[in-house]
Formats: sequence, structure tokens, C-alpha cells
Amino acid sequence: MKRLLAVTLGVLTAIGGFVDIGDLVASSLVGARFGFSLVWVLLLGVVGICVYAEMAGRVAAVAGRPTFDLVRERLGPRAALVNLIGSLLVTALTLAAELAGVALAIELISSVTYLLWLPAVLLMVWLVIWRTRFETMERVFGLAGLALVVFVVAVVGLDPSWSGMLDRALHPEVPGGEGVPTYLYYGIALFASAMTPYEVFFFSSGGIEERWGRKDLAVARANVFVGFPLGGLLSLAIMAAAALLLHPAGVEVGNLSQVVLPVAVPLGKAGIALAILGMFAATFGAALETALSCGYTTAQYFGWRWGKAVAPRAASRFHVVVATALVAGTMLVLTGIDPVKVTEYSLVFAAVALPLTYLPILVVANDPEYMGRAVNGRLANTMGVLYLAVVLVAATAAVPLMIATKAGQ
Amino acid sequence: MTVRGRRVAAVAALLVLVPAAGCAGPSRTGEDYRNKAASTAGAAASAVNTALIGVRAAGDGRVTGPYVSVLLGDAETDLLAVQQTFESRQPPDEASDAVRERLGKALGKAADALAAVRIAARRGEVRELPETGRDLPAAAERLERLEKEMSS
Repeated sequence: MKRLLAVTLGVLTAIGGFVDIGDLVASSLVGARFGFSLVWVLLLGVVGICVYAEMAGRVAAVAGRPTFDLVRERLGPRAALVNLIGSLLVTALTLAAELAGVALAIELISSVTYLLWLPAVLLMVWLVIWRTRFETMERVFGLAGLALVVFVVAVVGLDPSWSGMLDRALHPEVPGGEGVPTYLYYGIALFASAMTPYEVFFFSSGGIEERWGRKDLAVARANVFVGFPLGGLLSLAIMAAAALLLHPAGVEVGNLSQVVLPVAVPLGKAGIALAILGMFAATFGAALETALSCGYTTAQYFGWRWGKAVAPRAASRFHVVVATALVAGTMLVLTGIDPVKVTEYSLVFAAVALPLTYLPILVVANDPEYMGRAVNGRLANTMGVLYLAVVLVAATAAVPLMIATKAGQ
Repeated sequence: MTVRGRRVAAVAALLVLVPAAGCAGPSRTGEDYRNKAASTAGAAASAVNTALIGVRAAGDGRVTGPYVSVLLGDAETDLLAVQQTFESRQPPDEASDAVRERLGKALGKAADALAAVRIAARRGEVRELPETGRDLPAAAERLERLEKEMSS
């Protein structure tokens, strides 16, 4: 019974925890601008994160060490340092976007500018990291994030033509007035939002925090193969709702307030309340995950003690990195930079950093020295190599497309 | 150039190019100016249509006061940003002066309509928003027409 509860809670947490500010913004923006023509990219991304999160979870459960810990040992300190710097910068930028997302969600219920809420958000996130148990933290925000199911209800409430939606998703074409480079640029951003690097750092380090062993492989796999696809369904619903209401009206999404609009029209005030609760929980949970991921990757590279299970006094350097990342992220947003632009840039740079994250996972998951009989099978390797190729293409094309399209204008 | 020098140059180029990717460039020809005017009209129409959906939902009692206040404030900020960017562009010839004048008037009317609903929302007059925002549909239509005309 206890095991079943762990699986259920893990799955629910993964559903709620999958969606973050990147998914909220990218899904809504893409749905409003391109209708259903980029649904295939979202599905591609969800399968990709499943392939690599399963590997990272298996490595954590079998080797008993998180991926980043093994990267330095396997690839050497120099290559691992490049990996660390790239991943850390992208994760810190994502953290800034998540903190802004929490403050923006509060602004939507208070109408007080998000900039005034940011210091309070910083304090809340730090207090939760400092005081709350890992499992409690993960479950509370993951489960509250399930309020985003309201977007699925909103899609039904908007009374769409289901066959028409399916047809447009299955026969994607670049909408009139949009160029192919812009279509590809947003496709890469959407792909990166599903495969954000911090998700695997957090997933594998979280497995160590929860003391996963071989017996927990089923829990890890259930989290991945049920939780992430259902989380992907939430992103799909956000995209579909925007495609149904905002796309025909020619609305371009540039603010979080617009993301809620397709829920407000069919479901009214209760829908708005649930959507904002879901956004708050999803971005708060992701802020915790990204802040911790900054600490995890740095501490694992330098061989420091790390983790929430360890007393802060014993893992002081880990906590200093987490606190520094939080303060730096807050200060970046306090400059007044557009938080949605920060999110868009974080997704593009995440796309560039994807190979740095996923290549080492593939290498380690194939190493019998760490994995014994649990090394990758033929299917995992085939999918892993295929996705690595996709990730390399996305990483190579991201910045040139950003420059060519003037960041998707 | 050494390998190290090339790496430094590549990083420097990236640091210059990436932030510049989001900036608006100058218009050197009348055609370029018209294209930029068309995209300005499209972005402005997006802001007005956002407000229009919100205002109609407010009339049906489907939105909360704080939410619609933020939504309308964001829409107005977006519109003012594209208006300011467009007005700061130098029209390259006399034909462009006419484009500037027509779009400038449309943007001004849209900005007035958005300011009216934003003020009403912040005063708590949520149910009256459809009446206050009666000029929004015409403003959106005018901008959409200009977008089509200038991009053809």
C-alpha cells in the first residue's frame, strides 16, 4: 500500500511538476501564433524527456550517484567544467524566469506589480528550501500544480471541432504571414521547454535525496512514463486553448495575463482562480527545482556535500550556491527586464545546452562499470542516439535562427 | 589568429549579436518602412484584441477585477511600446510620411480606447467595461485593415 502510494504521489507530482514558466509561455505563445501546427514538436519533446529522464533515474537508482557526479569522473574535469558552466548559466536564467513567474501569478490576483512581490518570493522560496522536507516540498507544489487541469476543461468548454483540431495537428503547415525560420525558431523553443536540462538534474539528484535503490526502479519509471506524458497533456491543453481563442483573434502572447484568458472566457472566475493557483504552484515548484539544481550540479562537480537531507551546516557550500543563485535571479528580474523575454531567451539557451546535458547521460547509462546489468538496452540506445541527433540539430540552429528572425519577430 | 583568439572573437560576436537580435533596425527604403508599419499595426491589433476579449468577458461577469485590471494594463503597455518604437522611426520618403500619419492616428485612437478601459478597470467599474470600451472594436478593425493594406 505504501509503495502504491509512493508511485501514485510520484506520478501526480511529475504531472504537476512537468509544467513550468517555459511550458506556460511557450505553449500559449505557440498556440496563439501557430495554432495547432507545432503540436508535433511538443509530442517529440515529451518522448525525448521520457527517454532521458528514464536513463537518469535508472543511473541514480542503480549507481546510487546522480548523473552530474558521474560526468566528471567519466569525462574528466575539463569537459565536465564546460558542461557545468553551460548548464549552470542556463539553469540560473531559468530560475530568474521562474521567480518572475511566481511574482506575476501573485500580480494577477492582487493587481500589485510583480516587481514589488519579488523580494517576498525570494524569501518564500529560500525558506521552503531551508525548512521543508524534500518529499513534502515536491508533493505540495506538484499536486497544487495539477490545478492546471483547468486548461483541459477550458478546451472542452471552448467547444472545439475535435476532428478539425486533430486534422490541423496531423497536417501541420506554416500559417500564412509567418516565415519558415520563425516557425522553426519557436519549434526549437517549444522542444527545449519540454526537455529543459534542469529537469533531469533535479530528477536524478531527487532520486538520491529520496534514497532510491534498484527496488525503486518501478517508481522511477512510473514517474517518467506516466507523469511526464500527462504533464505534456497539460502543456498541450494550454496550447490548444490558446489556439482556439487567441489564434483566430490574431492575439500574440507576450504576457502571463494572456495565458489565463482562454480559461476565463469559458469557465469564469473559478477557472481564473484555478489557473492562477496552478501557475503559482508550477512556477514556485520549478523555482525550487532550478535553485536546487544550481546547488546540485556545482556541489556534485566539486565533490562537496550536498542535498536537503544533509544538515545545512554540513552542506554549507551547497546552500551558499543555492542562495546566491536565488539572489542573482531576483536581481536580474528586478532590473525591469521583460520576464517573458527572459523565459524565451532561457529556452533558446537551454536548446544550445541540451547536448551538454544529454550526451553524458547516454555515456554513463552505457557504462557497465556503474550500471552492471542495468546498462541501456537496444531500444534505449536507439532512442537515445536518435534524440541526441535531434538535440544536436536544435542546439546548432537555435542561435542562428534567433539572430535571423530577430528573436522570433 | 590563435585558436584561443578565435574562441574569444566568437564569444564576443555572440555577445553582441544575441542581444541585438531583439532590437528594431532602421528603415532605409519606403517598402521596408511599410513592412515595419504593417507589423506595428499587427502587434497593436493584438493588444487591442486582447483587451476586447477581456472586456467582453468582464461584461458577462466572468473575470475578477484584479485580473482584468492587469490584463488591460499589460495590453496598454504593449500598445504604447509598439507605438513609441514606430514613431521613433525616420520615414525615408514622402510616401512614408503618409503611412506614418495614417498609422499614427490609428495607434493614437487605440491607445485612447485602451487607456479608458484600463482606468475604468482600476476604478472597479468591471461590469461597465463593455460600454467604456465601445471604441475598441473599431480600433481593432482599423489596425487590422492597415496591417493588411500595408503588407500587400
